[in-house]
Amino acid sequence: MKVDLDQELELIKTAKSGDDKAFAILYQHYYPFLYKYLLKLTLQEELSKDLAQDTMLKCYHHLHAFKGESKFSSWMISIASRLYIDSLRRKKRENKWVNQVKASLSRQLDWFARSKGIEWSDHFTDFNNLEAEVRIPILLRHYYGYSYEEIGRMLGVKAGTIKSRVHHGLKFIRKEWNEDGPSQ
Amino acid sequence: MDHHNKENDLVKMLKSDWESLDTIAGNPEIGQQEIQEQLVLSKLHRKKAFRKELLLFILTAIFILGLFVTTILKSVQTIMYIQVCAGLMGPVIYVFLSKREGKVSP
Repeated sequence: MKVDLDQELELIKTAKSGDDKAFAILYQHYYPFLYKYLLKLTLQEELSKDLAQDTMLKCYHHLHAFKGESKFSSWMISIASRLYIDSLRRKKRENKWVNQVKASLSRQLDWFARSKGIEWSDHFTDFNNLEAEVRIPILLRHYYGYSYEEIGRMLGVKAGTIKSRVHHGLKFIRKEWNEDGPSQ
Repeated sequence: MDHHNKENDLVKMLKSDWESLDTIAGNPEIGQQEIQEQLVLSKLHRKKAFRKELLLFILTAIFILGLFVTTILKSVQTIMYIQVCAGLMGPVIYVFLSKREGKVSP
């Protein structure tokens, strides 16, 4: 279902007045976008589905808080990112001995990729081993094209901190690759 | 300059990986029926959680109030009266709130 900007604003307004059908249209429209964003962070289909649904429900219950100062999609990404970070913290608490929850491709995704002849770069593995607080800004900056200021607002962190996380994250990946690369 | 080129190459490769992930993900869809069900369930869940929190709050308040009054008046009987009154008033307030909620929600 295609929804243009004017329609989106109208749907948000209608949904705010309590029309569930209007919100359901927004939900249906944005679900694939959210799912794909979360899949790039979790690399797990089921977890991405659950987080995308939780995000949409959180948006539903807090729709009155959306003032339209940013795009609706940015607002959703902000909620999804925080939910993802919270889920990782919960996982770390449950498994106290694990310092870092590493993201790796689910078996199904791995199988799909192989069947389509997709090969991942070495950088991709290193990127997925970064902390979520570093991975999210890199993804938002270099794939979704957000500015440092926008990412900062989305994650509730200063723009300078975001810039530094992106810079150090990329530097770390390059360093890892330089160390591993030539020997392989 | 070399450093800048390396960073650009790195970003290019990552972008290509993310694009591949988007290809694998396809276009996941969710039906209107399922969405409506999720919304209804979520509302029920929130209502239930709210009631639970409210009940816990009231019980704690009654307990603290009882302790406070008992300490001030040095009368153990008072705490019993408060608990009995709360026990009788509680269900009445609950029924009143439930009826009001029923009228408000569509």
